[in-house]
Amino acid sequence: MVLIPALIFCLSPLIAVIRASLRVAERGTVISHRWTLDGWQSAISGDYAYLSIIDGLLNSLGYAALTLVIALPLGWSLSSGIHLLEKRGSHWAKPLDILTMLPLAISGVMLGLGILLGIIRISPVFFTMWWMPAVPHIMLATPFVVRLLLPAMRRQDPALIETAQVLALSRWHILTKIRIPLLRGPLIVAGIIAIAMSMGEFGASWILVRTGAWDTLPVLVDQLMARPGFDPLVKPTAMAAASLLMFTTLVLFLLAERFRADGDGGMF
Amino acid sequence: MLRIEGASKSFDRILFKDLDLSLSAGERISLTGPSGCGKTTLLRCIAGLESLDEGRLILDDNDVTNVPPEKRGIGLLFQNPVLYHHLDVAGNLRLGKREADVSSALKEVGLEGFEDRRCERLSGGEAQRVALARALLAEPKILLLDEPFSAVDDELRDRLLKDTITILDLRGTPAILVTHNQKEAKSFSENIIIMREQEPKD
Repeated sequence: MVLIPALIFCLSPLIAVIRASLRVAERGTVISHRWTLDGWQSAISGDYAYLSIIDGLLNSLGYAALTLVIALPLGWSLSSGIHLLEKRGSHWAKPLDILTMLPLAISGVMLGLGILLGIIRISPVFFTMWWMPAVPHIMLATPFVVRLLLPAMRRQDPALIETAQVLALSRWHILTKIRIPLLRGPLIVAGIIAIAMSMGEFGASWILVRTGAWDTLPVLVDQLMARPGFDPLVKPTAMAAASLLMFTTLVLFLLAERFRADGDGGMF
Repeated sequence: MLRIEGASKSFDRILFKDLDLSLSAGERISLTGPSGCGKTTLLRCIAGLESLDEGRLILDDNDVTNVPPEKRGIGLLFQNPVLYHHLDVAGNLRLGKREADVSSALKEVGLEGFEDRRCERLSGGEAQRVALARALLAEPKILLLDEPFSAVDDELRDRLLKDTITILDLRGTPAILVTHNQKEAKSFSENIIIMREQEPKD
């Protein structure tokens, strides 16, 4: 009974976006719509924005890759640190755990604004650095990485690491031969979530993307939606960009689900 | 070989206090006593996985009290066999020694031809034999056994214990066995140390 309304609730906005990308309004005496791929064609050619959706997707993937490369090791280090403090019974474990969640306590826009004001104080040169929009992505993705890795580390039998220590494995070998392979599943899920978070992030990107050449897919959608709507192709073009973003993140989440262990709920 | 001098350890209560113990080359000792009396903690302290509150640990005339476990050269077998399931049996053994003669090591513990087996497909007894072979490949100065056969049935336990004693004798490796089982303790060694529960901490 609950499943059908839940499915309608979850899927209808997604279907509506795809549908809108495939329908163009025709103005006559009465407004009618026709089914067409014109919206997708203009989105791919980039007629209505600085970038095409393919360029926007590549930008998003580039920022996502940067987010992954930094957020995953950072999240791993933070999780390991918190876990180590917990094992030692340190009072600092809980505050550090809470501290890692702080970026999630404020909105993306606020985060972007904070970074913007911060870099102005340091050096305006940072405005021209293409990687600036990735900074809030990393800040937002890292807590999720921690939330996924920390419970997995807590669940792990301490004897696995202790045995490796007693077998005289170096710290490097314990990391590469034992810890990382044993946490492969949660690591892959955390990596995919970090990519998906970066791909979908809008608020901070909107503040920090200083030139059209850096536009990510969500920013591109916003730009297209902000254009005057008298041209009937604008809305389908924006919806095509939104659909592409949706497909990409959907594929990522399905991939994450593929690697999620049974009963692995994380700490969300 | 190994000398423990005035060792004390407590958590929320005293586990052992002013404990002295010595183990000479090739010797075997059984440690027994009620649950919670600190037998396992003592083994963990010897292995370097826990630190002593007081006292010293001398191994081959070197003070190893503050030496990390990876530098002590002491082997430890846990109650449940700890195998890495992302590696096959041979991969697990090579953790003990990179250029290990895996086939010989497996033959020694009666698991000839088990090199390519997945660890999750091993029985409890087989898994503990693999863990034993791996611990021995690392050529430990001392082997610590923390109730390693408690999870298997009596018949298999007797066989595993007998095989372990044979291997330890052949190699001349000194060992300490923690067990609840008096019969097992007697079979393992002539020297049996009985630990008692300490009084609550003030």
